[in-house]
Amino acid sequence: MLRSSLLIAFLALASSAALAEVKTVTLSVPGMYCELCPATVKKAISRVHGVSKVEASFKTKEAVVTYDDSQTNVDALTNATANAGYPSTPRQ
Amino acid sequence: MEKTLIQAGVNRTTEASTGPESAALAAGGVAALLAGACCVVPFVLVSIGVGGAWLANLQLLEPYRPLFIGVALVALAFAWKRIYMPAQACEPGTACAVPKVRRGYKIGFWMVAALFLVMLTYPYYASLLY
Repeated sequence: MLRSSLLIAFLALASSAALAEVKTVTLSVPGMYCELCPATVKKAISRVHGVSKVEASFKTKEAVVTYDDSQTNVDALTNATANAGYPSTPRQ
Repeated sequence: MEKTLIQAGVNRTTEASTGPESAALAAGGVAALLAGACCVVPFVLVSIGVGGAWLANLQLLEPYRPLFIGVALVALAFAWKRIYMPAQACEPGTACAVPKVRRGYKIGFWMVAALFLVMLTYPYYASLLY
């Protein structure tokens, strides 16, 4: 009984730790039509709390974002780009 | 609205006195801002933390960029001619004869010219910003 509850506690801890992980998402930002647009998108995304790395590409019209799963989510990232004038969608 | 906020800074230097020079500089400043509205303006606004979905509307101005560049060039050329090579000597007592006003015009001219250059050349320095 004690062992199984310990096991459950351990699993719960492990899963919550697994939830707070660093994730990477690729956002499709079709509106980045000018050379400076990726810079604006990058700036907007990097202002989101929990984002550690952003690479925005003018050529591929994509932004690759590395973020802390426990501090932010994909919705917050797409909201941030939309608020800069560049709506985006996560690419699977 | 935000555009007028930025523009206010340009106007402040030129509205000290009214004359064709001020009008040309104001027109040049507005045209320069419009020429960069699609890209430089959102970048600056996002950098200082001002955002909004309305920024996407600025992209509609992008096709007219050559037009705005042309207007800004004409306005700056006109201002240059009036400020640096006036055709007629200044009448004593008019605004252009006041040294302070003339210096204001020159400062205004170079501020608008710098703004125009920033807006014009962003495709070339853009890659340095990301």
